Amino acid sequence: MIYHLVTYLFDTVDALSFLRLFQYLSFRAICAALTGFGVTLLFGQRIIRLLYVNHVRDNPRSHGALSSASKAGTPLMGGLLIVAAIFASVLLWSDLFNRFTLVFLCALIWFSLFGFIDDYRKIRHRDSDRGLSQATKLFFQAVFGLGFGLIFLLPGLSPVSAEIASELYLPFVKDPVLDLGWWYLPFIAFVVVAIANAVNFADGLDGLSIVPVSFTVVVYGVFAYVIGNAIYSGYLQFTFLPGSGELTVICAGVFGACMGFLWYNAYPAQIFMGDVGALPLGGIVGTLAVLLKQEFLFVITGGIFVAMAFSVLVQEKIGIKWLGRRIFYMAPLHHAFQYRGLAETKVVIRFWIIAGILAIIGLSTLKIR
Amino acid sequence: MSQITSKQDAERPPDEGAPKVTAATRTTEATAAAPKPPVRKRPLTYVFTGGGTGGHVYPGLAIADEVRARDPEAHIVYIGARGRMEASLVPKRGYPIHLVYARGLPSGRQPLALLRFAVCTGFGVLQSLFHLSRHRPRMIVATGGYASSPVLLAHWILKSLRLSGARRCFVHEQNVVPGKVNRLAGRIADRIGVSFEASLRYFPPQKTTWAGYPVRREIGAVSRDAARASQGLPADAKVVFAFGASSGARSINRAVVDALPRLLAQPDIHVIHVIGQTRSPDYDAETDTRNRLERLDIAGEYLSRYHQSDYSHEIEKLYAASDLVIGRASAGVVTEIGVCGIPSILVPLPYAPGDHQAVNARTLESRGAARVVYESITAEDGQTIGVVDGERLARLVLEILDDPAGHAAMSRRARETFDRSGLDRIVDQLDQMLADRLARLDRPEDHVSSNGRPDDPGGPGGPPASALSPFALVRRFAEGRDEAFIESLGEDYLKYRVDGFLKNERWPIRNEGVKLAGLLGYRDRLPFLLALLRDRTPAPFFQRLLGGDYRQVGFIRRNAVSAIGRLGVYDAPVRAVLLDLLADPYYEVRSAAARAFADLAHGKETVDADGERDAEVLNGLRGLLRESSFEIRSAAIRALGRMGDGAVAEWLRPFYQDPNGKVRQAVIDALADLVGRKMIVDLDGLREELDDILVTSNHFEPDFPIKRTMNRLIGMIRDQQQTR
Repeated sequence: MIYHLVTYLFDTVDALSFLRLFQYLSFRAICAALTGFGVTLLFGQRIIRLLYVNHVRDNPRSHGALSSASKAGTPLMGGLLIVAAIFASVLLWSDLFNRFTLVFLCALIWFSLFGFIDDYRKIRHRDSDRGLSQATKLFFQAVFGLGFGLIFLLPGLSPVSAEIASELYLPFVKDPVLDLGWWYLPFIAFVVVAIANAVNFADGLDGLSIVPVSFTVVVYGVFAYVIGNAIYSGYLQFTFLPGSGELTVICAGVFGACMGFLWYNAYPAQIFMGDVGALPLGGIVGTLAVLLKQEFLFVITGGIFVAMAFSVLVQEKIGIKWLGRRIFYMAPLHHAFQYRGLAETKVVIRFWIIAGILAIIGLSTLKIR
Repeated sequence: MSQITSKQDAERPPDEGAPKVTAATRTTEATAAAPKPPVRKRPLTYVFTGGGTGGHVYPGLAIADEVRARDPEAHIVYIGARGRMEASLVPKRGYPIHLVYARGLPSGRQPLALLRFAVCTGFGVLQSLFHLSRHRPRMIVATGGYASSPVLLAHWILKSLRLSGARRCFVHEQNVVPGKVNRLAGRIADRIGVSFEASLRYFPPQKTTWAGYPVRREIGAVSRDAARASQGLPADAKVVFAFGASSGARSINRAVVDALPRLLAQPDIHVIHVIGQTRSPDYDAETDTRNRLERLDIAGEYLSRYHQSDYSHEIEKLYAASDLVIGRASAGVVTEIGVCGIPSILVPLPYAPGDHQAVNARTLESRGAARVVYESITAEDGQTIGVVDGERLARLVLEILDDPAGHAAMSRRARETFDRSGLDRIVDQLDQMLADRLARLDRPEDHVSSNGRPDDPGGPGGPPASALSPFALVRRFAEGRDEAFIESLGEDYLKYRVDGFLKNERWPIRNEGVKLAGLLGYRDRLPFLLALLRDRTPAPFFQRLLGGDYRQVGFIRRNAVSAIGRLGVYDAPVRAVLLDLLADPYYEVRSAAARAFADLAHGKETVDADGERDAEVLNGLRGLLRESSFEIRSAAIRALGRMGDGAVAEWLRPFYQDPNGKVRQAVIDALADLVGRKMIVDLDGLREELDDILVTSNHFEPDFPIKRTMNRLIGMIRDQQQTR
């Protein structure tokens, strides 16, 4: 909104032409990041208290001894904080008539809503198994994926031009490898569902998912900046997507919100994000990947998430359900490391390091192609 | 009524079983069936179908008899499965029978068996189509069992092609929980009659009605004296009549033979034993029973009071002659002996659909009309088979027979529980259907009494069925034996449930059974657990490709080992099996075996006959120290500490700087164990060595002091509340 206000002002009042600064993506991105961070920091304490008082807690237990070694009782639904901060920064600093922005906001709202329903059910029934079933979650994700795919492929609605909407790009390769046509629709649905779930699996230890998510978002932000800029995209031989630069601002806002949440979520956590956080974060990363036509970049940058999702699938579906044996000690992967005798902090920081390295490798695909 | 039908009619070769009607009259009937009310000059044709086992044939025959009694003109044809019970039973009753191909749906996913089933049923449907078009019955009565599936399918085809005219289809379900065929039949039939209120919910409500079980007229019509005279039994004897189902039951047959020495030792007891005609490769009733009899140490003159036969067509006489029945708890048997008022010992067929036999048996037991003996299981030649303890059976029989007052009470209660109006109700229903009054049925509210059964296997007042699922039971007993719950259910029944899980085809269920055997401390299942662990039948090909190994999957083996650890029996077979498992292909089994050794074999048991340490086990455990999995290494190290002597400390030295902290922790635990058991002589040397153990760790436990103080506060409050 500040963006629109300022644009109006310097168009009409000559004296305010210095406000042109606000047109620059880089400046707005920094502002968005600071806003996201500031909002979480500012409201964090209050929200944590509010959630706790209202019994929005993990493993809520009315009576009985508390285990001094367990984190049970930590407030849940910290995702509300993240989502609110992202909303604030996007509303303030980005171009709200940009189609990329609109699609992003849809994703954020959709995933937050059913994430909220899921958490709400868990809390109301005081049972972490009573949330939405896996099938229901998949259904909601798939509905969004298909709707999003439809908008993406319809020339009148799509944020990208019709010629390139259905083309498939790979990292390290300059030109599109394949035009999928309408087959791109199920592909989009798959990408969104897969990424959303992968991020969801990673939400198991304090700070484990939030940092890799912010790394991934930063990488996509940089890509958005390059792809949305005619000169840079020409220089680095990307297909120019007009308007996608706006996603840089959004990514920065998400990054800021994530950092602000980490402030409270760092070990030992004062708050857990819950599904209301994990689902939207996964959903928006998936949406970003599709919007920037960099779906396969996620396999590199979000390698941590891919590995976790893979370990869960192999362990649950092949091992436990079918073969009647374990294939890993435990799944998702981070629990396997804990089982081997690594403390939670150690596991989390090692995963951050790996995520950072993967992010750097992801960034290198900007030039190496 | 199509041309095809008429053509076949015209070409129909005259045979003695078919109705003596000319083609001309049939055509009249065919045209008459459509618009105007039918003028019935020719006899009505009924097709009866159902079978595979006697339990499905007898109700059909009972209904057929009643139909014929009401309308002697009625023309009745039976269509049954080739080579099954009905092939011999039906002609004996004087009804013509056509045999068609039919086959039961194979359990599990065996592609070959499924194919055979499909081909067989397809052919059976063709045959049935032919028979149906030839006889053009006005009524099809199906009594369940796979033999009825081709006929029902054929009827369904004709009906959907609108070739069946005014034909009606009535399906009777005998059991509380319907079988597969009848569930399907519920969609095809015009009316479904059920024997138990509880089964109403399995069928479409607008066409289902409670009818009861059709008890044949002969049952209970014979006087006791006449029956005894006809069977050559003395009038004052105590007669025990034992039989499996029509196909015989191995567990009952063997238990009865085992019980003979005790039973026949009483001079006035006669035993009638109908062993059934089973002749499968697994079990041949006749030879098996003969072999068992020969092994028996029993005086020859006793055997004159043992009357064995492989099948009886006059079961009503045997009922009438007997004082006690030992048998399966199928709806038919239960109702028949109930109507006759005979006390019974029921051995439910384990894992019949919905476990309905156990439900029947427990209901009767709770009403004081019967006693229940459950099968337990044993592994024989790699197969899981049911067994009944003959000793126990004999004791129970004598207990009932030696207590005339109790016997009379059981008899009275049995008679109170059942009535025999089912047959009338069913045939009334048929008449009504033929009169074209297929009005929408109201839910029957008024048949609450009689054979209405609770549909939960926990029995009346017991826990709901959902609490008896394998997973629910494991959850319940994970914390220890819930004695109140066991009490409410009956330990016998619980054991029987566990046995059912243990012999289940699906491994996830079997797995829960294994867990339960351990959690509930069923030591008598130890041989079975050992047999499971010895079972090295490979898993299906595709599973092996992805890392599966044996049919008894990794989880089952792991849990069986843990269960053995809980049972706390350490003898030679256990030791041998555990020793083998130290080389199991699945890592969790190897570590579980090491843990089981640690749990079971410490202290004096590990010393063999010469007072030496059990070197073989120790060396086996030592072999595990080379494993790459830290879990196995730690388990083996702990077990060595528990079982070994001072020499073991030597083996642990290479692990002082193991990269995995849990392994190092195990080393320290093991050394502590050895020191505690005073196995280490050179304590100074050990103390010096300890400095070499790497004690930094990647692990720590978090501690939230605020929660500890909170707990203290809560504790104080609770104390004061209690003292107040």
